[in-house]
Amino acid sequence: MAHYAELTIAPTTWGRFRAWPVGQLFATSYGATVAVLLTVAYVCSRLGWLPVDPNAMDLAAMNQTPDAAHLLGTDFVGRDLLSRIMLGTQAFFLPGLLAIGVSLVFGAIFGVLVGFWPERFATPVGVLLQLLESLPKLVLILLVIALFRPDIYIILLVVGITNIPAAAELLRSKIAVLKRKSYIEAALALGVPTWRVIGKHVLWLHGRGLVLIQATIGMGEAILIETSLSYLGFGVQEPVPSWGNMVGLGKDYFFQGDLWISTAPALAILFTILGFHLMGDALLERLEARNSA
Amino acid sequence: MAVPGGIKDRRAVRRERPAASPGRRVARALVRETARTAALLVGVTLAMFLLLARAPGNPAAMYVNVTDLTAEELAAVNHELGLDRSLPVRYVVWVGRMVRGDLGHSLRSGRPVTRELWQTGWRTLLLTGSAMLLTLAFGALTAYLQATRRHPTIAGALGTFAYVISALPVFWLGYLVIYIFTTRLGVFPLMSSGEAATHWGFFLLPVLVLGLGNGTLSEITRHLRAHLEGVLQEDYIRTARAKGAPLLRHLYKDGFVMPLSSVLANKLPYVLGGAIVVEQVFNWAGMGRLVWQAAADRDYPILMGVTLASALIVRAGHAVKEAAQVAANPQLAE
Amino acid sequence: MSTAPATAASRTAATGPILRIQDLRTYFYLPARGRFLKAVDGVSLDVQHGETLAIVGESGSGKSVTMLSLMGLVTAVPGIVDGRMWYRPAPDAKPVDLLEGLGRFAKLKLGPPPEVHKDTLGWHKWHEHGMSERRGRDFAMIFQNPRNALNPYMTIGQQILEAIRRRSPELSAAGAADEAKGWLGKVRIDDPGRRMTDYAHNLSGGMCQRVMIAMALAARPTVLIADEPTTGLDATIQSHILDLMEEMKGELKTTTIVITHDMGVARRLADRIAVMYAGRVVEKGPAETVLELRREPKHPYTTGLLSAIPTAEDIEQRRRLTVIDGDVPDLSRLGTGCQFLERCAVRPAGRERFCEEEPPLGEVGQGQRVRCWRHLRHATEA
Repeated sequence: MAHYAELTIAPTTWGRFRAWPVGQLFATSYGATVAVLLTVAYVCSRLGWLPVDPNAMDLAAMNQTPDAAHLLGTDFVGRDLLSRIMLGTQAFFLPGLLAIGVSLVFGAIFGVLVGFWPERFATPVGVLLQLLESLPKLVLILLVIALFRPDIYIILLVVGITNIPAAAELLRSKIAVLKRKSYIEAALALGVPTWRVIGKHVLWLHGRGLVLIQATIGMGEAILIETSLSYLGFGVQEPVPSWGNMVGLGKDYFFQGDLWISTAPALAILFTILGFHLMGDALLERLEARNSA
Repeated sequence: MAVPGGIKDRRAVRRERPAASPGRRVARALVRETARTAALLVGVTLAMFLLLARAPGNPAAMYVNVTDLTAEELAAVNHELGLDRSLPVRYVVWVGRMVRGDLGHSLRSGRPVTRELWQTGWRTLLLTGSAMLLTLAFGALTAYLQATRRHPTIAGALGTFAYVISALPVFWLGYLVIYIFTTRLGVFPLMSSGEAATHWGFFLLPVLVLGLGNGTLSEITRHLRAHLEGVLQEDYIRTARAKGAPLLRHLYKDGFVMPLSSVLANKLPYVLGGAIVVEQVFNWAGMGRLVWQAAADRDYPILMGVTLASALIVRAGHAVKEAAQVAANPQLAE
Repeated sequence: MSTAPATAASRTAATGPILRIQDLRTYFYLPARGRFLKAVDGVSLDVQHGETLAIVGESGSGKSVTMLSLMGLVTAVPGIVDGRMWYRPAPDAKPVDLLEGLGRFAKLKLGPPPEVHKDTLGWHKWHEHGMSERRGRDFAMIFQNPRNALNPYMTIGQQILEAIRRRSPELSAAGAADEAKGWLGKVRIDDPGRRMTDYAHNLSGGMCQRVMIAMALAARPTVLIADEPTTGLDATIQSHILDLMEEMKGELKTTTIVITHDMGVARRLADRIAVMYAGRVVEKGPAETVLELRREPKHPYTTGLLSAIPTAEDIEQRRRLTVIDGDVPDLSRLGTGCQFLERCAVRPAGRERFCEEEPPLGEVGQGQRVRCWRHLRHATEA
């Protein structure tokens, strides 16, 4: 039985969120929590504030499930899993930000170009972007790896470049919606210089939501690619931990029944990417709702 | 019988020929797609060629074994292969060879690249194609249940499942599935890939893992649901309901064929990339494992061959999408 | 379910109404504002066999939602919360309540503030069970913007055949196709054979509406509902469509309900007219009575609507158009009392205080009812 009643209390500042569907509220708060935890883990690992030395092997305490001394247990040579997971964030955190930055900057450029001057730019830019999209990312990355043996930053730079079409399309469709609204036409008619219309009205006022969406999607993808690569053996190498190579190393123990060594980093991947997916989707839904309203 | 001199609309008189049949529209679309693919392949091969020109190592090694050659012999080989000419000429020569089917030989095995691709390619296609179908089917079902709001509990469960399984690393999922089916359930003994090709059951596991765990399921479900909700609001759906007509019949083209074909074209690259990882986990002798090995060995001919093959597969996905959409939507070709 | 209403209905003359809507309330809940949008708030209507009833009102008066409620096509929540809809397919048939069982799924507290408990999913399943059989058989509905109302992915022929086959599944393919072409010819579409394989985008708006009419009539419904059939069409085409509808009315004698904001449409087609405002009926009666501007008793809204139509003399004299002051009320913020009060041009002299209270839809003679204190006796006046 659903119950509908009229509200007699005036909405407060937080009341704005009351209008959000429950799902979106949950998704956004969970995603925000994940982002915060991730940043904390990264910063702590950079500063060396880890609970246990991640490289310290303790052969007496191998393959342990979580206990007081090791909050997430130990791996097959007794290294603390929690510390290694925290350290593992270094493999994708900054490179991920690089990828996001590249896709945003160039995505914005192309998005604006095609959005405002479709007659001139739609075809050339469209062809270029289609080229970027015609290969699976992993294949392209393996090609680059074989050729240049680059480090993870360059790899994620390439990932960022391959994300440009998606970012450009987000911005272009937003611009297409805005162009139909009269106030852009009015601003241009009043003589406001085009670059200012773009900068203020389009990018600043409306672009912030898109930046957030692209950032969440981008970070999720960065984690996915980096962990897949290090699982395949191409990314970060032992003994430096990455969530991907940790799962891969625990494989033999997995089939023997020691599930935890592979599962702990896998859960870290799960909860992190889930947070970004949920938040990104919730933000996209709100964006689409505002686009059609 | 129409009354002579009855109402005739001007617009109707202007239209002369009847609407083209679906077959003709599809044929025209496929011609367009082939042209586009050819154009794109030029771009892809150009990019690959430029990359390769900057790679370390001797390009002649692609075609012959250079390790035991003296300097003069090397120069002779280079001249014969045309590698001492200018860059644009080399590109043309290289493309010429490709068109004739010569993609060089694997640096590792010495076998022709085309043969390696052929042997592994169909396995990867089988895996990827089936996985993609599974993804689309699951996404469509979940999205339909969510959009029509008839069974909220099942829809919610499926949706949650989609989110969780899309965030799970696909390689760990593979381990889990193998563990459950071999050690715990004892359904299949752990097999190597050679026997796997013959046992149909073992084929199901990687399809299941790649199909559900490729990371796009939640996005696809969300996108399909939003689209379906939009279609359900359309006026013609309201008319269909008012007529008492079966909803699915009026819905399936706009609500399923169109978005699913788009999703197929857009997400095929992702699933293909995921196949590389899944083939590793299940030791599946497909192109994914081939390219992994080639990346480790710096086997450029294989790498380029796989790149080309992937581009072709992705383009094939786009062609399927175009054909399906043009066949379903009568307004698209006119 | 008590039998009292059934006996009351059968106590009327042998030709009781084919459709009787009693006290229908359809509310939409706006979560962002935390209020109910009372789209239909206590509407009662009768439709007799073979007659054409026009429901007239501005956008937002609730006329479309009333008919969508009848068809069970309201998807918003909570939707229908109260009311009865008695349907009697033939004069000798027993009337059936289309909203039977609503009380089990929905509880309404009028308030203020209004409160609703409704099992929307359960009601939908229950209601669909009954209504899905009736749509396209007993009831057929046509809509405005006919180009959008036809499925762009199916040919015209397929859509008409669908309606025919639903009605008579035993027909052969050829027989059904012939009948479909026959209907297209009946609505004056030229070259029906070729049109069968055309799509909606090959047709103009007027032709699409003809197809819609053909599709609806092909189902041989007991009641035809036309929701703004001429809106969205060019002016000349509107006239042609009305010609067609008059012709069909004369030939087939189907009971019809026409929803329109255009008094001209009502004038051409209606036997009886109901005027709606703010989710309620404010006047209803025979067409001649309602339409005649200078004939009292009348609701001031109807007077306003009729005065707004310029006569030839008004145009010659270049007079200013008469308008009704004010705006349509926000249906989520309706007060108590007469809803038309702030726009009313004629206050009931000496009885203004009554307008604080909403007048009932009272009988003022010869089958006409008006919701205005100027013409009704208030309870306090003995």
